[in-house]
Amino acid sequence: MSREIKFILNGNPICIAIEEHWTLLYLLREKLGLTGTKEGCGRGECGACTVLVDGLAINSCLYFAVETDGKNILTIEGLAAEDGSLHPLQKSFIENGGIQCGFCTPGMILSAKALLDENPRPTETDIKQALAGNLCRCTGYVQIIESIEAVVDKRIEDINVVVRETGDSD
Amino acid sequence: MEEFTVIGKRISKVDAVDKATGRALYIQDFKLPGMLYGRILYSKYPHARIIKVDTEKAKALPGVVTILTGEDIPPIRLGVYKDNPPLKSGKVRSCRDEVAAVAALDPEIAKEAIDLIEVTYEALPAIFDPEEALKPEAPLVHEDHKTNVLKMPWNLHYGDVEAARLEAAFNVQERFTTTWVTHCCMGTSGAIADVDNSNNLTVYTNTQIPSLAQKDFQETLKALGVKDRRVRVIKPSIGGGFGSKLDTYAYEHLAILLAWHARRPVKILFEREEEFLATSPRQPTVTYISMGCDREGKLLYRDMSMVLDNGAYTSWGATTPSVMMMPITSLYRVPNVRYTAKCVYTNNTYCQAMRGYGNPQATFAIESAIDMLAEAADIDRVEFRRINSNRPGDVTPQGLRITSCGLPECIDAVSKNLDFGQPREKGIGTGLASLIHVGGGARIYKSDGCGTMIKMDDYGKVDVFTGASDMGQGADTVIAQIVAEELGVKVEDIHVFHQDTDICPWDVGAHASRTTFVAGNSALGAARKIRLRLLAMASKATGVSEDKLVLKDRAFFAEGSPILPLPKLLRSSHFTPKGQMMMADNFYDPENENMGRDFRGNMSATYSFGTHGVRVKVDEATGKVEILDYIAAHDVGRAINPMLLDGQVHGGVLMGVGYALTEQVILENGRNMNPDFRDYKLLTAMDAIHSKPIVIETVDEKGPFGAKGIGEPGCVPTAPAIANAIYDAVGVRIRDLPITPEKVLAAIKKKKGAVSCGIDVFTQKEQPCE
Amino acid sequence: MRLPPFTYNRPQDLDEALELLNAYGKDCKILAGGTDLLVRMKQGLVAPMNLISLKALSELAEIRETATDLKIGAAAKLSDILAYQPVQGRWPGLFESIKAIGAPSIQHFSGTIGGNLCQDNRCQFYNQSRSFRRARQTCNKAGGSTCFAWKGGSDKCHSVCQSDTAPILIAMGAKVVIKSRQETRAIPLEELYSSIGEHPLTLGDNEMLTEILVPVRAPGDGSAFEKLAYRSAIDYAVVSAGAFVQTDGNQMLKASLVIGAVARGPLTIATIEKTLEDRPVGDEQAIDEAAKEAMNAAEAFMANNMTQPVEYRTQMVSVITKRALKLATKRALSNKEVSEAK
Repeated sequence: MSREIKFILNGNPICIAIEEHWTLLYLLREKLGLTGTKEGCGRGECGACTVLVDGLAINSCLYFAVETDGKNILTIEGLAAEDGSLHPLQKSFIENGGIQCGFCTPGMILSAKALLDENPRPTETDIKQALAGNLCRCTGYVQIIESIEAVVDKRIEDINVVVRETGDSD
Repeated sequence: MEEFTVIGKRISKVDAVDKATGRALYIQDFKLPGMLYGRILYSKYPHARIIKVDTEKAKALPGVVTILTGEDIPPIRLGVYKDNPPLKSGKVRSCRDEVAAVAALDPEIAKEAIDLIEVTYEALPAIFDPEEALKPEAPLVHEDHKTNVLKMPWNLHYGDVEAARLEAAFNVQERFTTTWVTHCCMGTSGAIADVDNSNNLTVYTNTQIPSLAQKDFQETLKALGVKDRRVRVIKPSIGGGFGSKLDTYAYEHLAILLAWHARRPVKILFEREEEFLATSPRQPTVTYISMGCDREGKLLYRDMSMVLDNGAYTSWGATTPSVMMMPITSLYRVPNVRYTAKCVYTNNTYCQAMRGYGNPQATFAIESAIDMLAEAADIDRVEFRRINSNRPGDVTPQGLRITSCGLPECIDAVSKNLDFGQPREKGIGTGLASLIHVGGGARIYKSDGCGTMIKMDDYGKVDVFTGASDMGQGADTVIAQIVAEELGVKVEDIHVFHQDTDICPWDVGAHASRTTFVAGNSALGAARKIRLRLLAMASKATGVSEDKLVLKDRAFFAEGSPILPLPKLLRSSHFTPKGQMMMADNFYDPENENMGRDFRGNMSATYSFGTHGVRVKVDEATGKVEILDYIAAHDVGRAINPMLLDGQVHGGVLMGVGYALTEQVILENGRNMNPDFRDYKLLTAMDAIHSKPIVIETVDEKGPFGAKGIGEPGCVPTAPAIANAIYDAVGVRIRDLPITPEKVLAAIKKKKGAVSCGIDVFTQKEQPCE
Repeated sequence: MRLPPFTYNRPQDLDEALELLNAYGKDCKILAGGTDLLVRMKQGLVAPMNLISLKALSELAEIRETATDLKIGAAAKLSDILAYQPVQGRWPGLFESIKAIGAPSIQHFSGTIGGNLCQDNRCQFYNQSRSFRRARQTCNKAGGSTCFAWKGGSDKCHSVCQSDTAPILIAMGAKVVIKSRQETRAIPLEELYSSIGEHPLTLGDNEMLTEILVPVRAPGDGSAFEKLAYRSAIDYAVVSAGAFVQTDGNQMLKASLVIGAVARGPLTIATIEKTLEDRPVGDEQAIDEAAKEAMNAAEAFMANNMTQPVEYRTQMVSVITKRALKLATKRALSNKEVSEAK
């Protein structure tokens, strides 16, 4: 059955007619053309489709589009600031080798964002737990974890400047 | 030491911004106007006659455009052995055999249509064990082939193994087995084929071999009666390769055939389950090894034979013995070597290349046996490896010419960093294993070449058109660094094109860890040609002699000061009468050799070495193995980009750990029982190991700025290093991968005197205890 | 992977939900987090015509402590339970069991406790795609008449209950509240499970799990959950065990043990209560006896429903039992209220 839903997508309000059996992933990729969110398994096992719903990381392949009604959705396309400047996590993944083939990257970055928003000083164990639902075959996870730690440790000075000046760049 | 501005720096991947922002486009993300969606019907049986394929109901389904069965397509044979038609007729030989293909308006209709195709089969006796398949009474997988043994004999004997065996003071003789593991690329396989009105073909596909794929697709066009048309291969961003994309597959050819019939673009995209059951895993092996040394621990001989489960068809998996020969003949100094391998047809899934290309299987047997031999000879296992280490200048029995060789340094680095001398704790142990791999290309084909074209614009921006393929490893970044260094510009001035055969030159493919070495040298050669011209022009323009000019930071320097900006010189070359255009091309084919009939030949221009050391903790009650420390030392010649290099090592190591401990494709009578990430135990971030990569730079004289290949080595010695550590920890030797907790526990129990190791759930037979 | 159409209902309160449930009856599934249901829908294992979403029912997401119970709404998110401060300290077994589910974070932000308890049983021959299943006879669970997991076949379904939270909650004596439009009943959690592989829950078609009541901690008690899996996340248990003990500091007063991932429902090892009662704390032999009882009890149910060998899983029941009992005992001893009680 078709119905109309309203939600905030990457900071912009959106109103769209959807079918009730569509997943959020399908809506994003096939109907809204936001292909940054990837489908790796369709079963909630790989995390490539991770998006944030009201700040929480979820598998959009196991989330009905209809349930986004009234919610705030963030996909990888909405992470950079409006002027195009990258989110500290994006910069850090780029600069610390957190990206190889890149297929898991959008999901990884969003899981990391959900973590850091909730817990700005996570331990390595916290980070590993936060990424446990995001599979990666290329990196062995090491440089992904380091990319997140770099943000946490304020190792990258220009990232800190961005954070101080703009706060959360949602 | 030479000073570089770009080489040796931790430079971000050139495609990373697109990937971090979700802009990078993968095959999943491509849609063409009017595109149809294709889907494949696979066999219900591992071995059966196809009596009838009834497509009537499926054809009647609204939205179905084209249905093809094995009877509808021209004779096309895929693979190195030409035994694999993209749609089967008459007989199916494995559960992944393609029986029919559908193109429809959307993926759901295609799926429904597949369900409506009715196939009548007559089941045939099937064979799943490669050693059983050797027996004369075994059912034949391909009747017209007359035997299940592939006619690809792999036999070598250098020196005199039998004489050496008599001479040896210590000997070991063992059997090792490995099973299927699969690439698990996060982006599944997919292709879009589009045939235009003049029958020119464009294929968007995930491939590591654009130029060879182009040729394969050309063959399929030819089979359709089309000659002399263009085939263009476009390679989107690839969600992981690891060898899985070294061949062309039925689905790509089916996309072409469907597009040809429908006269519309057709996309076939695998779901995850299909990725597990219809792509080709690493080759399983049964290995018999014997090895002996003299009283001082010097290796005297190595004698190995293998049976490889080829599966029902033949892809590159069947040629992995050609690479296994390298560690077998040349890992450590061993004067007398014998090796024989048989690839055997079974009704299992057919196998392919996967990172390491046979080397992990061979090294698992060799390095496990090395530890056992060292113990038999009562020589410290580190010392034993030092005694036998390869050295620069060695020529191995197979004729491999070892030039740069940092193996002794790798062994020392692991020994120092892992601290083998730490006091022992119960259940904790250490192990090590080394590797040799091709590091300067590998002459598998007649050519091992790669082309590059470079063009520079008015402003010092550089377009590099390379034959190399990036699938995430950073080939484009490394090439950009090499060109930037040579042309005195910045990496951000360089744009590397590698995605399109209409634009990019020829290359044999991203395999054998060859890209940095071969494509790097190719790019370096092209850049050098431009550099020489620029220096001549600059000298003319400034009056400073060429040898006094330095090109760096986008300018020419004389005596340390910039005297001419590079863009200015470039513009003058365009805006001067009889001006010139800054373009150059270069085809680089390394000075390596094809193997001869006796399998001798220096297949690579140089070789990479490495040693891994690991400390494990074994839970003796559950058999679970935990990795405490991991050191991976590699001789890489020179680290062009230490960050990407570390990434290759970390990723390779965890893939190796999965191979050692958790990963296996479980086939029950030829059927994949775990086609998902729940039951295929790909390791998660919580299982990640903080491995410590150590880089040994031997600066190879043939490598671009001294670099050697490092794409594959990370996963080569991992399994034996872990197996050796488990032995050190709890005294049990596991000879069968993966080393799952149940195997470790069974071995511990047997050692302690327990009799039963239980019934194997799948074979329903008594499980052999370790 | 798109799903076949259905009607989506989003009731605004519990009464409305129960009304809908009553009206739809069999032809309906309850959607909480969706992490189990959507996967089964995608595999074509279920194709409900109607879904009732619990997402708007804030009353079902509540977590609070009363004098007698920790009350957890059935639709409380796993992440919210973990974040509820008292849980980790006072119900460590529950905390551990939730941590062990799927992947911390992702699944926890969607998954609910009710969903974890009410998830369908699993089997390596059943939880597969349609095309996989079509290559074989239809099994009992899919409406056919054979079982591939049982050697020699069986007229019963031998699927396995993989809930991580059920064993520890049962061991701790949790109750669940079940509601229909007509009635409300509270039953021991144990009774939620039918031990019938085809239909593992005793819920009626018009009934819904609404609340979980976990008894508050008493002096000298301790709980622990142990799970053996090959990976550290996104993995079902090879074997799991929930243990609850009560001591006076010297002797075991009470003990209960429930094994997960071995049988058609959570497997309560009733005999160990007697075995451990009045035995001295730290009596290794007593623990060994209990472990052996657990293993023997589990062995009768072991079927080839997972990829790991049955023999190994059986052996692990003993190991995991010992670990859970020992940890629970250790916690009981360090339970500060013990000394106060003395």
